[in-house]
Amino acid sequence: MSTAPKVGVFLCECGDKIKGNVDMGLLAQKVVETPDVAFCKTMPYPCLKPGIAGIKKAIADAGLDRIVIAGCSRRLMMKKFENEMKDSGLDVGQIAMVNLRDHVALVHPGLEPAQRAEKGVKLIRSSVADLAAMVPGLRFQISIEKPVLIMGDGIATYAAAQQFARHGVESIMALSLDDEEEIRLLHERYPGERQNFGRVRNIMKAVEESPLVQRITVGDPIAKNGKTGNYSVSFENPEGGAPIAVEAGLIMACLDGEMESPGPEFGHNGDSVICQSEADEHLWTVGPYKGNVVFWINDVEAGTPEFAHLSMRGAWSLGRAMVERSDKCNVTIFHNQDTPLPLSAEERRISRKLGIQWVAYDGKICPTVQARNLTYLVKDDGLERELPWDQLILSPVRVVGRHAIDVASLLNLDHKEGRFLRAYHAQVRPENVGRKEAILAGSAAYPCDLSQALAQGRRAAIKVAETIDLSKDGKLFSPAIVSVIDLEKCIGCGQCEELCECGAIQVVEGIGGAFGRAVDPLICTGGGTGAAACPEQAMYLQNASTIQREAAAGALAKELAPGEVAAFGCTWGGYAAADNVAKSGLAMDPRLHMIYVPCVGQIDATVMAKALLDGANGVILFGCVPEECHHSYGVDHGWSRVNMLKKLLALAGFDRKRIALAHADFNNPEGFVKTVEGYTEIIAGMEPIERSPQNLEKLHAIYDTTKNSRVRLLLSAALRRPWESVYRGAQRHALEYDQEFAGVLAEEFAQTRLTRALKAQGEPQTIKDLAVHLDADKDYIAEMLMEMASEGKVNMIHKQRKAHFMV
Amino acid sequence: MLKFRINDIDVEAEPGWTVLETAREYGIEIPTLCFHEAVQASGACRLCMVELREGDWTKLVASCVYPAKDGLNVYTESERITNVRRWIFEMLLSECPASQEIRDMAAKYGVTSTRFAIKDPEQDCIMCGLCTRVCAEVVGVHAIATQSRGVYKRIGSPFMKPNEACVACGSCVSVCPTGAMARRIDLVRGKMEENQTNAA
Amino acid sequence: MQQTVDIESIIDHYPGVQESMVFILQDIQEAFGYISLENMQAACDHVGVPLTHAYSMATFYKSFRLEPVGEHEIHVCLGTACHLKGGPRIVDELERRLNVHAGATTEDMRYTLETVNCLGACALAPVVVVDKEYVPKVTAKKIQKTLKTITDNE
Repeated sequence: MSTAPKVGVFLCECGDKIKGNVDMGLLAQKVVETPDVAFCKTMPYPCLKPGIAGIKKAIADAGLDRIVIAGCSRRLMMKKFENEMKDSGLDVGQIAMVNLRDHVALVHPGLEPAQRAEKGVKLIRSSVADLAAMVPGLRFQISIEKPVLIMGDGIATYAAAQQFARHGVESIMALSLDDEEEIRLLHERYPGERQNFGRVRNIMKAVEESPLVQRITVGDPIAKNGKTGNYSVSFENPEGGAPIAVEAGLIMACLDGEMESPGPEFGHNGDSVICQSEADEHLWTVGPYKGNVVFWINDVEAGTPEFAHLSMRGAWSLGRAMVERSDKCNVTIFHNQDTPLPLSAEERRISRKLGIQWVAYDGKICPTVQARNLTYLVKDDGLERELPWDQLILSPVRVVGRHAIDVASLLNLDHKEGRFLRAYHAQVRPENVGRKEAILAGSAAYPCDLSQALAQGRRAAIKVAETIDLSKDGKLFSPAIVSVIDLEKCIGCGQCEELCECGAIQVVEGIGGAFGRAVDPLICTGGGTGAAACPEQAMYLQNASTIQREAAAGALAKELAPGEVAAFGCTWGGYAAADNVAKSGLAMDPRLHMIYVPCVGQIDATVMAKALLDGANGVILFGCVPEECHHSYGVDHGWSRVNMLKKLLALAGFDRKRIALAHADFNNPEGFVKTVEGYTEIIAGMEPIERSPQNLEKLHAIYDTTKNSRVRLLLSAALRRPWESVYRGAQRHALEYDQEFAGVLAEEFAQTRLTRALKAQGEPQTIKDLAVHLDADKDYIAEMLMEMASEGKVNMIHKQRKAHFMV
Repeated sequence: MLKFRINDIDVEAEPGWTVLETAREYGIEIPTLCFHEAVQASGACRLCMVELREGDWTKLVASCVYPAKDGLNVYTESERITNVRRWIFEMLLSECPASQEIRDMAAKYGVTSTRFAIKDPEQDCIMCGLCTRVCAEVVGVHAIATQSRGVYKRIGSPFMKPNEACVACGSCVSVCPTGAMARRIDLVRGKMEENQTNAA
Repeated sequence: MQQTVDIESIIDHYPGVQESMVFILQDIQEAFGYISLENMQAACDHVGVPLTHAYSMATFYKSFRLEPVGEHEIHVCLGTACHLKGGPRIVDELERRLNVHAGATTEDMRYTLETVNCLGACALAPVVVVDKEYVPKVTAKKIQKTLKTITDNE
């Protein structure tokens, strides 16, 4: 690849939609004048076959290694361009798009075609600068030759191993129990499912007979190292002695949920009032109960209505087995009227024949357990009734056990808050949707019945086997846009590991024996939130780095007129909302200039500072509505950084409102347009920042402070909003934390300014000189300087009996 | 290079280009509804019909799917085509009277009313399937599809419940030519929190 | 103990290719009376197609049901011959007796009442099919008797 980037820009006329509204001649002329632009062409439709042929020809003729297409929505068109340009040697990341049609041509009715062209140029220059700053990182091939390790003791282990064997994939089952113990545990974890145990035994037999399945007996897992293709996991040795080490190409977890007894408010006593798993045990060891057996499906009252259907199935199955075995037993299933009967027509007939009663109660009043009676209400009747019982059987409380949590956290599968392990995963592109589902099966992921657990094991195995097939065919590559950690800079603080939602961060041996971190490229979704949070900027997003974003922000900011605003819009929220403005027949304030980012959480604070430094008088970030963030907490990360910038602006004596965070929904362009107008009005109402040497010095110091490790570490340690109810690490006191953070910021900001000033002056300075130079309080300067001197950041010397400082 | 004529102008095309693509390359606009550059053409809406003439023999084809051929004689604005287009607009107006986008577009071609019976005055979807094609081809998640058939055909997610497969990217809303998807998307994407527990 | 129907055993019966979908859906309907979202999802996972494919297919064919069905299915023919011979009156009668609209299931999930366009048994008009058994030349009285037989057989 040549050293100097050669950027080609293709301007779309989009029939008359762009051509009719934008001065294309002026636009092309200005684009050609842009640095790094090696080629520029105006085309009627770059996206249709004739246009694509034209782009390919230009790439070949002019030797372009990156291109900008200024046309319409990248969300819709990028995939087509990426696919088409592959054989021209351009990979993902080497193509950028500017939405000339929906952000410029069709939404500014008040502008002249030449003015629209001016705005278009600004956006295109920003995009060109972004691409020109890219240091292309290549994809590399990943091969998986070692077997798949299935761990966690869940019953799905067997189904997964069977599926792997069918697929011709080698697997290792690491279990701490033998088959009989697993079967014995089943009734505790999947009560009322004994009729299905035969199937489990069949699977166990098939697995035992397969030469592709290896079985090892292990204790608790100790550690996991490595990346996809090359993992090593160590387990405690159940017979004592050295730990057992296992090498694996991929790891799958099969984890079963556990059952606990319900609390005293339901009268559980382990004897006359028990829960379903106890009833199952009793039925098959002692025999059916006599008299009135009542199954109370109390899930709604216990706060887990979503599991009521599982409990109902369990009750039905247990109750049926009891009645079929004894004629001295009357079974009643007592359930909330809002829970529908989970029976098929055939089962309803059987139920009637067996005389199993289904009693629905009105949940307005919680039924109460009394000695030998339950009091309850029925629908549309205020009269309290009594249901007599001799044996009361409650729904179990479904939980994730300690063992499952340990295994999950070892495999980075427990990052999402919530009671169960399966959760919404960053839905960014289909290939990484459901990655978690591919390597996790069983009822600890989310409560399910036995056959669902087995099915999950099989399904996960199919997905894993597909990855292995890709590897066998030599088609498994790391993605183009993926986080990479520079081990020379990594200090092993582990912030990225805390933040990463996908669990892609692995501990590796760093420089000089320290523990560094590395990214598993097959797990990383390329969201870039980790990279933006790295205190040392050791982590970067390959082919979409912070350096590129800074270049884009800087190039745009340089072009902006005083009243204009630089904006960042995320794919899912802000940018998409802007794409839809024209479609809804609305107009948008032309002073807003939006740069595309995949997620606002990817925008490093340095990028925001760079925009302000290079000329922007207002910067706004448009993210998703918080609960809808596709990168889980990207928008919250953006919030934390914006607030840091606000503090820095205030410290430097600028208006805090020069930076802002906003939320947008793609389906609410009206709301988006209003937000835009609101903010541009605020910025237009302020005097622009005078670009005097003093102000530039402050803006520079802001920019430098955003790169300060101490500031970045503090920021990344508390990226979530204080009111989030659950997150890793200790809950912080909202106000105390912020006051402390503000203090540190003030200190670091002042020290940054002092360092810069001393560097700029070149010769030793007195406190007074510096105070005048920085227009700051003398005592504060003195205090800072003394602290810096004690930390060795500055040297203090005495000249003419006065303290002088130098770097 | 294939050589043929559009509206009596000589044009050239590579094999594999369609008549529509070639026309657009030469700045000749043909109206479309169900066509979008991001996905394969489907020829569903018939708005892009053009007339092919050979001597006194003529035929009408959908230009978005008709391949360019040597010696074609294509007319995009002939009397017959204008007439057909008016018919199509009238049919669209009866099919989805609630769409402002369709009314605007029809008015541009001088059609403001329809002679056909209006089945459902609330209907705003023309069933062109652009949203489902984008969802499958561009986004790759298949969260929405056409359902039922004939006059009962509709667009939506399975069981008309929020679909876990939906990534809430809004591509379907952006491509929808009638604005119908904007009113349906919330049923498909649901709230993410809910998707989590709805998962089968 | 009688084996309950199990979605897994239905699915396991067919190879995991797209062509199996219709057969799997048919078997699911046979076993459960209808195709639930969960079962459809299981079939899709097995065959390897998105849920939307199966749903489009299931809604395309009229014979697939996506709602739970009653224990007894009653189909009233409304083809030309049956229509002329009083089919609509039979529907009215059943709607009244079962307290349910045609096309729906009674609240206690006992009966599902459906109308069909022609059963090809025009000589028997008006004809009603109760749980796959043809009841020819139906009258209001005959309906009463048929319903009673159902209850008695339980």
